[in-house]
Order: sequence, then C-alpha cells, then structure tokens
Amino acid sequence: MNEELASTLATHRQELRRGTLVVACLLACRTPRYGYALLEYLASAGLDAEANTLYPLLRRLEGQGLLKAEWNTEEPRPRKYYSLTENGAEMAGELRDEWTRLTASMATLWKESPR
Amino acid sequence: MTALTRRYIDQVVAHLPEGQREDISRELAALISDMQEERLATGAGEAAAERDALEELGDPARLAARYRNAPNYLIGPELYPVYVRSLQWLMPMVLGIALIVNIVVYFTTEAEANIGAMIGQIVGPVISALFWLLGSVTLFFWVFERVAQPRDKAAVARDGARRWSVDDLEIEVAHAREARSEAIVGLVMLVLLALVPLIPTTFFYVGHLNDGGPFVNQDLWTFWLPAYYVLLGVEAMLGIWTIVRGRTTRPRLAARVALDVVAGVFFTVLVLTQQVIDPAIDSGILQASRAMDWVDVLYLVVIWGVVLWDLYVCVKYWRTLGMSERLVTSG
Repeated sequence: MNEELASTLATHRQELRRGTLVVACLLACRTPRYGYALLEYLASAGLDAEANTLYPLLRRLEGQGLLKAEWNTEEPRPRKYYSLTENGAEMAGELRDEWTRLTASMATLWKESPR
Repeated sequence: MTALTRRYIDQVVAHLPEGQREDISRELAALISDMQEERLATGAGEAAAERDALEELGDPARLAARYRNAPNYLIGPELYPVYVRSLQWLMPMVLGIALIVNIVVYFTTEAEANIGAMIGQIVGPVISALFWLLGSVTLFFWVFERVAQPRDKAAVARDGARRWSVDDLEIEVAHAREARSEAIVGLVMLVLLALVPLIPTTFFYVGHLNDGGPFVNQDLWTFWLPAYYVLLGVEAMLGIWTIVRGRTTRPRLAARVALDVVAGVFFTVLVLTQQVIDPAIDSGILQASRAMDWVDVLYLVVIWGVVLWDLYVCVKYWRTLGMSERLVTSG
C-alpha cells in the first residue's frame, strides 16, 4: 500500500474508533476500577488506549455524571476508583444496543455485497 | 515522588482550574508510579523507567488541554458557516460606508480636491476599517465558540445558515444573475476606460508637465483613439447583449475571444508604433529617467496579461456551459 493510501486508512480507522473508547470505558466500569487497571483491562481485551487520552476521558465522564469516583486510601498507594452511576449504566446499555445494531447492519452489508 | 515527576505534574495542573489541581495531581502521581513499576518489572532502571513513563504521557500542556477539553481551533464547524456569512454581509457594507465617509470627509476638509491625493488619503483608513471588521468579527466568534453552550451554538448554526431549498437549483435564474452582474461590472469598467484619454494631468498633481492637458497624446485622434472607442463600443454591445439575454452563451463567448485577440493586437501595434503618452510628459519624466527601453515591454506584459486572463476565463465558462448542456441532453 502506498503512503497516501496508508494515511487515508489511518484517518478512517481513527474516525471509526473515535467513539468506541467511551463505550468501552462505560462497559468496563461496571466493576469499579482505577485508571491504570482500566487501561490494562482494556488492553487485555484487545483495546489499546493511551493513558493521556483515558485519564482526561474518565474525568469528563465523571463530569457528565456517568461515572462516579472514589478515592481508596486503604492500599499503600491511594487510587481513584471509577464506577458506573445509574445514569451511566443506562447509557452503557443504550450505547451497547447501538453497537449491536451497527454490527448487525455491517454483517448484512457484508453478506449482501458481491465479492 | 522524584523532583522530575513533581515538576511534570506541576506543569500539567498549572494549566487547570484551582479546584481540580489537588485531585488530578494525586491521580497522575499514582498513574506515573504504576507506569514506572511496570517498566521496572521489565528490567529498566529507576530513572529510565520514570523518563519513559513521562515521555509516554507527553507534553504537559497538551495533557492539560485534554483535561480541560479545550477546543484546539478558533471557530468550530457549527459556527464557521455563520462566521463566513457574517463576513460576506459585513465586508461590502463596511467597505461602502468607509469609502463614502472618507470621501465625504476628504472633500469637505480639503480646499483643493485632487483625485490622487484623495486616493492616497483614504486607502489607509479604508483598509484598516476592513481589518478592524475582520478582527472584531473573528474575536466575537472566537469568544462565542468558547462560552456558548452546544445547544446555543446549534441554534445559531440553524438560524444563521442560509436556508436552502430545491428552488435554488434553478440554474437559469442563478446563471442569469451571475452573468448579468458580471456584465454590469464590465460596463462600468468600459466607462472608466472610455474616460482614460480625457483625464487631464491636473487630476494627478502633474498638471505642470503639459499645462493640464490629457495624459494621452492628442495626435492620436486622427485614427487610433476613434478606433479605441469603436472597440469599447463593440465590447459594450456584447455586455448589453448578455444583460438582455440573461446568460452567457457559446456564440457570445466566441465573440468575446475574438474581441480579446483583436484588442490585444490593436494595443500591441498602438504602443509599438505610436506615441501614446502626451509628448510633453514623455520628455518630462520618462525619457529623463531613461525608462523608454522597458516601458514598451511593460505595456506589452500588461496588455497580454489582461488578454490571456480573459481568454482563460472564457475557456472556463466554455467548459461549464458544455457540462450543463451535456447533462441536460443525456438526462
């Protein structure tokens, strides 16, 4: 693939992934997690996120009332744990359904399109 | 926590609101420790692990910008069309007002009015008025982009953008409007060109050179100037034809191309064989400054620059005309 196509692909891929991190965070935070653990958890699921993107995003979701945060000071290193609020859980469900619909649409298109 | 990490965190939170600093500092400290630990586990040294972690987090200012969720653009896509439209409305308006005001001020304050001096005096204020407009409109939208709620921005975008309807597709109407306005501008230019041989030198502060006679050599009235007016007359008739018909057609374009070439040749022969500028002026400045050698070249460059530009415009029109005709016949 030449350079121009490769950069076009990179742009499209980035566009496609843009919204997925939010859904992934909400789904992952159904269990309370602190930032770095969340990062590792997402990586183990095959989603590579960067700390400098994820941490600001977590704060933003907290600001939107979708996540709530609590400091756990019992461990030797105090950590901020994020978990879903009621609104967050509802939204996670909505977004997951949207995702399922998109997957189904893509599957249909893939099946119907001539090879 | 080492001094390096401390400095990094301080630089990040320095860009953030007071109330969030403590919280974000603690969270980042924990994150950097975790990242460092992971690197130590792979056998990196203490200092190298820290450096590597900080480098992965990147520029503190950018990280802070992500925390603030600050837009890294001046005017976003919702407001941009409104911004452009505001300028499209305001620019000509301010330009007109600035011109009128400055001209009126000049003529009411100056005892001896003179075109050259007037132009010199109003160009500066008019240009700065336009820059002021551009600056203040941009500033307004820049601030609005940052203080307005997304809901308000969407509302502004909805109301400010031109409503489009299928009626806008009436090509004939749009073309007619375009072709007419272009032809009217052309006629105004022709009137100005018609005045050129008549303008007296006193208009431009150089009346002493030939006792206030015109710039153009008056001996040319025997043939060249009448021919010049015939050319302008034909050009004007083409313009009027366009205004009446309301659209540019291929025959009219062909006529325009032919006229361009004739005019180009006419002026080339004129400047090469005749004394165009009044001899009194010519001997006054041009010859004194030994400018004769390059003056002819300059004339030719200007003449053929204009001709070629107009031919280019004609070719562009020709192509678009062909395109819509093809679409119509194939549809």
